[in-house]
Amino acid sequence: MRVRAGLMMLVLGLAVTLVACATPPTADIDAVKTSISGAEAAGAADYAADSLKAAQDAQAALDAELKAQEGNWMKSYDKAKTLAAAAKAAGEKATTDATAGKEKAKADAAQGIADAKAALTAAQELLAKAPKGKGTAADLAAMKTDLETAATTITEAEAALGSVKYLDAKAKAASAKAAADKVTADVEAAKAAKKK
Amino acid sequence: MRRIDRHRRVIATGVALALLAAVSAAGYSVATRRRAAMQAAAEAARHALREARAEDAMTWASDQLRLAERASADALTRQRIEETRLWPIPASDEVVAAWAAAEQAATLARVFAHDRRLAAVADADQRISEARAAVSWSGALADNIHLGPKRRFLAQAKQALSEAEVYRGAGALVAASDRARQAADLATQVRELAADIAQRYADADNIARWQRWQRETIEWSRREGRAAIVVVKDAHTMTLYVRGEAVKRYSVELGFNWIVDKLQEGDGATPEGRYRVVKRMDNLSSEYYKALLIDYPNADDRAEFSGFRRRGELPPGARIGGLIEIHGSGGREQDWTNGCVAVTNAEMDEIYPRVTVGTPVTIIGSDSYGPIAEFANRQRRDAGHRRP
Repeated sequence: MRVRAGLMMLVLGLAVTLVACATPPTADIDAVKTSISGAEAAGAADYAADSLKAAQDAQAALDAELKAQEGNWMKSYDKAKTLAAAAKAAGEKATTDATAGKEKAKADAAQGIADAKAALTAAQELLAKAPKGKGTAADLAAMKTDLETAATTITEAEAALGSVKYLDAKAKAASAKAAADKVTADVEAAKAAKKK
Repeated sequence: MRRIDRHRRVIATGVALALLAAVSAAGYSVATRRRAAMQAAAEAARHALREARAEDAMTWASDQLRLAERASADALTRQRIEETRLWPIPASDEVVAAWAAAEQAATLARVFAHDRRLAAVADADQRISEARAAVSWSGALADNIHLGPKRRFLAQAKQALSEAEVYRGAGALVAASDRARQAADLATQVRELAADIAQRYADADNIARWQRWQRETIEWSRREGRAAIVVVKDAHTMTLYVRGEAVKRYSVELGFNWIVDKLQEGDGATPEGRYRVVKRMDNLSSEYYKALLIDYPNADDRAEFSGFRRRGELPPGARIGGLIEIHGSGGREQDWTNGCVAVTNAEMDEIYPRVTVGTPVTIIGSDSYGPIAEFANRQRRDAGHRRP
């Protein structure tokens, strides 16, 4: 009888010791950190802010769980493992979203620059063919200055694209295109007025 | 006796079990209520945090948002500690208080972000509006005052304004304000350049000289009993005098760069000086209906041109130019000539018979302290105020 009671006490003691000595899922936690750092490095703050925030929230939930378990006598990290898996997945999604967002912003900026260049070329060709003479000299000189400035702005847009400043590149390209389009419209209007 | 004891034991056990059940039920009820309170407080805080983020607190109230997120993480940790405790009834007061603190911090972040974003929107819109007005005003000025290569400042101002509008559309309010400010600054530079050019119209010596030329021309007409012409550039008028009396005043169109005195060929300026008609051309020999050719460049113009050349202030190959006329084909409501004075063909028909070779044609910048002088001086005063 005494032997049986002793054995039971031993089994119970071992179980309690095993549960109390459960260790945090370090590998899972590190994977979460790596996943979220990767998202930040991929530019998630600028290009996938919502996804990054979701990943950071998931990490905060994991941290809370780990802290809660730290203070417990009977530790269990099952929920922490589940939370870590969710946070890691959220971090990976933020990385994917950031990469896609960045690529889209880059493509938009590049397209904007291509459009601006096309508009500039069209305006330059039209201006070269515009009738010259008394009464048009000042207007032609002003339009030429506008196109020279637009060309400089396109160069700045390309530099911004190279420096991964996609919104700057897009804004500069759009303003250069607007200037070139205005010259085209003005020359066309002058030609139409002359025909009347 | 034994039966009575057993009966009592059964009753006692029953009472004990009933008490235990009652206590358990009460405990369960308390635990459920407390858990619900914690969940409700957590949900309220999370909702407040979501609203703060939706208001873009990350951009406009990042410090406050960070505090709220930290408070939220702290509350979550406290809640999980209570939820994982062995004792089944959680101590919820501190947890609820922690969530309430997180909610309060998030609400503060939302309010800050909302106010700051609205202020930034208002600032960007205000600056864009000011820049639009400045660029438009400078554009109108540049259409009247030829800036030459320095017109690029206007082109740059327009581009900066256009960029500001793109940033505003993308919600990049700080960048929008910055670019709009640059646009307004560039537009101001255009105004200052124009004011430098216009400054000669505010110069008392210039005005006195021009008034003297005008007076002497009218006197000559009276004394000689003949016709004379006075062109006032800033007023865009040409007055025909006969025997010293103003017979008729015409609106005229001038060189595209009329505001300066003509110095060289191709500058688009209308010359200032005392000239005479040297040739009358009918509509068969003139490109612009009928024309009265004047003797630009005269001796004063040649001396001025030589002075500029000596000082190296002219580009290589610059020529003084000529062929300045009063001619027809006008009525275009803009200054379009290369320096000539244009009127309508009907007006030319009126003037032509009254003018002979030798008729004086005096061209002056202004006959009074006019709006251009006022603009130049006001700009100078404003520039003085802007300087630190």
